[in-house]
Amino acid sequence: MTTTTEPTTFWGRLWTRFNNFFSTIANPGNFLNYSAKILPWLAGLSAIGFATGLYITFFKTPLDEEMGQTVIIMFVHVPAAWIAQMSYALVAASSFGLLVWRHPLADVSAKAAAPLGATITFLCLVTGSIWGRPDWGTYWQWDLRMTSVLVLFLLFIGLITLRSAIEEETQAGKITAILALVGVILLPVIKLSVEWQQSALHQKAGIIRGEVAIEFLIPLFIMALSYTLLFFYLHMKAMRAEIYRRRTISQQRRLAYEDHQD
Amino acid sequence: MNAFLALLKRDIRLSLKEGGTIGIALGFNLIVVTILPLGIGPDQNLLNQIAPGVLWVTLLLSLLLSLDRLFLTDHEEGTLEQMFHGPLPLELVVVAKALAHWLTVGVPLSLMTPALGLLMNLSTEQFGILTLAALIGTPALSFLGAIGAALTLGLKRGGLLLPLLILPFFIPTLIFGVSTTTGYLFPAGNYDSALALLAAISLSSIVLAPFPTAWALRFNMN
Amino acid sequence: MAVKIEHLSLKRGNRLLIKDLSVSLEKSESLLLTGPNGVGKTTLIRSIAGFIQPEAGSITLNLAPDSTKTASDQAELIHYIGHKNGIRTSLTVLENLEFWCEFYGSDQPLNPVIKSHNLSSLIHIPAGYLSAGQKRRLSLAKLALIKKPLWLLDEPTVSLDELSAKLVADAANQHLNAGGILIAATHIPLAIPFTRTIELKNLGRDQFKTTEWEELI
Repeated sequence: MTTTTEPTTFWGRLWTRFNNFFSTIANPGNFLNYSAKILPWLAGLSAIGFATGLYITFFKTPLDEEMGQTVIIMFVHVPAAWIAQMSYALVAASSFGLLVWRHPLADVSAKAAAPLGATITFLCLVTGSIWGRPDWGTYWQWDLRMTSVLVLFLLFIGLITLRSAIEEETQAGKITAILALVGVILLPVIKLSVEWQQSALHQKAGIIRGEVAIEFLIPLFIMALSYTLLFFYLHMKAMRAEIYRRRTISQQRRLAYEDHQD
Repeated sequence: MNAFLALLKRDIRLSLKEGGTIGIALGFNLIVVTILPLGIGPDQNLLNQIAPGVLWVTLLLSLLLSLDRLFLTDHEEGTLEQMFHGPLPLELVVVAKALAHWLTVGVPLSLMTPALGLLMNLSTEQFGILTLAALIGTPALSFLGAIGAALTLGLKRGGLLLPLLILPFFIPTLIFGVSTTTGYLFPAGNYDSALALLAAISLSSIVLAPFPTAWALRFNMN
Repeated sequence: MAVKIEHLSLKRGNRLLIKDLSVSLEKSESLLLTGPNGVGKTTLIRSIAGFIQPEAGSITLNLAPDSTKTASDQAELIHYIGHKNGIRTSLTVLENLEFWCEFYGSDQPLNPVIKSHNLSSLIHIPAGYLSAGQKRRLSLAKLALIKKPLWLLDEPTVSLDELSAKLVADAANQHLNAGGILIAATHIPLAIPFTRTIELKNLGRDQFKTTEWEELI
């Protein structure tokens, strides 16, 4: 290990502090400890959130003049779209952390987030399709939002497949991380080009236009918050499972080696 | 610069000598465009309407087919390791190899467009512009494809995974490439902006794509 | 000019192969790595070549004669001969050699090197038709064609006959006399007076200890 001297500038010191803090929370042992304490809270809050949100959605929200009953799907669909994007951002940030700090927990985080992201993106596609049916007359329309969510889904599938195709695990993590970061640059470009194509084909931008009424906004945000809590609950749980899995593999390898020596 | 040219010359010579790559790409392009009208029926109007889109999609697929070989032989034979200790940064090695790929696969595929246009009943006045669009757009495909080729380098059957990883990144080129002829994105006949956008995508791919590619190559060499 | 390895630890996959290794070489010095298969000789050489990042510790190369070059430029000053020969099999022997000369910017005359490596009768034959020993000779011809201060040779004489092996040893001795540095891994004795020998040992149980997942127990 190279010895580091205390930097003299304010920002230098702040950076060292940040790095120290980061390596403390990113230590797998520490992570197992504090995540065990956080998990029940995430689960409880998320359950309360969903109960409240769904109750308001089904019983308290007035029906939309245009969309009627189908407006209810919005409260499942729109937060899913937000969380889908957030989960990609999480994969990308974790990948960045792995490539820059070379910390294995960042890889665990990226690996755990990808299948969750794919699932929630799929949920977003399905609910979007059901919601669009009465409006479009078909289950699928090459609408801007739907198309970019589909591309996002493909990217998640690519990340998962690439990782599973590479045998050596540390190698798989690094290679997948590069793909995730390339995706960050290219997703907006893809979205922009689809948007240009759409704006020429259909004048209508999407389902939600203009201002959303306040009685819709409140349940929407409660649902979004519950989704977020649920996502982080599942993510943390998946990370713990992954840490235990790697630990088991490492023990199995050692046992095989020791048995071979005797 | 000499090293760059030496590598470019070598790769062009190799792809002419080893032959397979260009032949497969051109042949694949031809066979897909041949069976497509047989599948959808020989309705001349319909074919004319879908021709630009079909020709672009088959171009993407044919080019993709040759991409997995981009670094593979050099990696397996240990030449890539030797280049790591050469005077060129790995990023420029990538540029030379992707450029050679474009010259030997992208350009022939683009020049093939008019012939395939005849099969698809493409309007003759669109031959020129579609070929030009293909020539301007294909560098992006070679350079973005290089990322995928480097990512899947260590895999036994990386070539099968490549389309899944890389085709989404080809979407912008596809959209603007087709828009030069369909006229819905820009007023008919006014394809300057579409060509400019294609050129912008190609140029930024040439500048940016070598970095993640070289990065992935380094990881795959360890 | 020096190669300095300090407290180096290297990992291959999940296993720690090299632990806390320190050694430094000055000009004209040579290092021989020995030890059974799978003990980390190749991993060590490849990490000096820059392919593998150290798990801990550092490898400092100071190879440039004028010391103006930065660390990343130094890859250019290394000759690495690994298990793979780095020969394009569809090109002829001559085309392979010419490409390396052009790529590395060497203006050494080709003929003496071709002659000394017993390749004269093979120059127009595609390298794919060559035997393992002939391929190795072709690969080693690079050492004579391009002058570089650090040689990293991983089993250089594998599949070579005695005469060709002596050729390698002669070239290496000449390289050392000219002030070069040599690090070689081999289990076939080489006629090179190595100034330093390191016998790498299996780390046993320790090779599984440092994985971050085991720390949790």
